[in-house]
Amino acid sequence: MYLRGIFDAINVPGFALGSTMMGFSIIAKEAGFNIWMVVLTTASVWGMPGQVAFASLYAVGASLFLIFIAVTLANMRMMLMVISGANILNINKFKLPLWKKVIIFHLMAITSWAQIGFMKDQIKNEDLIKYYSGFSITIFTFGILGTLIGFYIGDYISNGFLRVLIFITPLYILLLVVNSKDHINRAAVYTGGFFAIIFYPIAGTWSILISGVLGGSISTYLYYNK
Amino acid sequence: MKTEYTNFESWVAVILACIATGIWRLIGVIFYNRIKEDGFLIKWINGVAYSMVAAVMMMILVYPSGVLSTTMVEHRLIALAIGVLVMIFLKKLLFAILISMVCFALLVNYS
Repeated sequence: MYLRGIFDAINVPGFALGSTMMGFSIIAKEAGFNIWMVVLTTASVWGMPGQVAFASLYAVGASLFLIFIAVTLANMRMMLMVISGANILNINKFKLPLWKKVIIFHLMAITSWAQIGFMKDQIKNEDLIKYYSGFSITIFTFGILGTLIGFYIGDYISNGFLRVLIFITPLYILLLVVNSKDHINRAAVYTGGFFAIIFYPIAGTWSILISGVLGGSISTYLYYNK
Repeated sequence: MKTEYTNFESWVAVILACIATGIWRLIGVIFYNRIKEDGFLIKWINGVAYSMVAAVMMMILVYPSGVLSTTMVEHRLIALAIGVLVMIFLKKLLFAILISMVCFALLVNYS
């Protein structure tokens, strides 16, 4: 079952994630990160929106406080993903020590979470965790490789191609969040994006926090319980 | 206010980013059978999170720095709009990315 997870990952999910990590790495290098910072960020944050928020705010010289708040909020959904993933994997049943659970869920990204949600009806519950382990470790490897390649590829490709590669990352994330099944989250994406355009010329990087709170609050007010 | 980071501050920023993510995963692991996924507070925080992610991405696309700033904002927004429309109507992520990317490449290099 580990192998099945590995083989499923060495396909569209692995290559898609590898290329978005490549895009992140290019953005981060432009922002002024060195190779160790880029790799450590990918390995330890392991969540594209938070990583890109980090690199983009770093690029414009935002305060460390704002970077921390932005990355914290951008990755808050990790908690929900872990809660949902723990239920899908029925993790209680395995009586694992905390450190093992921490490692298992550190490897969880949107791709692997979506994959186990899709596979849970096709694989026996006892085997799903093996499948997930194979899948998520392979995806992680692709992510790190993409990050490494992205850091150096900029020196070897044309500017025209580089612009398209950088464009893919914010595009991928926006398309991913715009497709959220939850009405509140979907409305929050549109309102947050709109407010950022309006407030950035006035408030600079603080517009991210302002847009997030305003957009999220308006959307929750409009759609909660609907 | 634009800050020039020292080497030390840069590493502090990376460590803060690690903590900012790790903390949520840890809370999830410890409390997963006690937190209600559909409570009001969680819904609101999640809404703010989605909104902020969209805000950062729009900041990159509308007010970029670096190589992306050598392209026109109209081209970036047209390509994005095409991708969003494909995503809304066809619900195929890779197809939407591909179409949007090709449009962007064509607009940037040939218009």
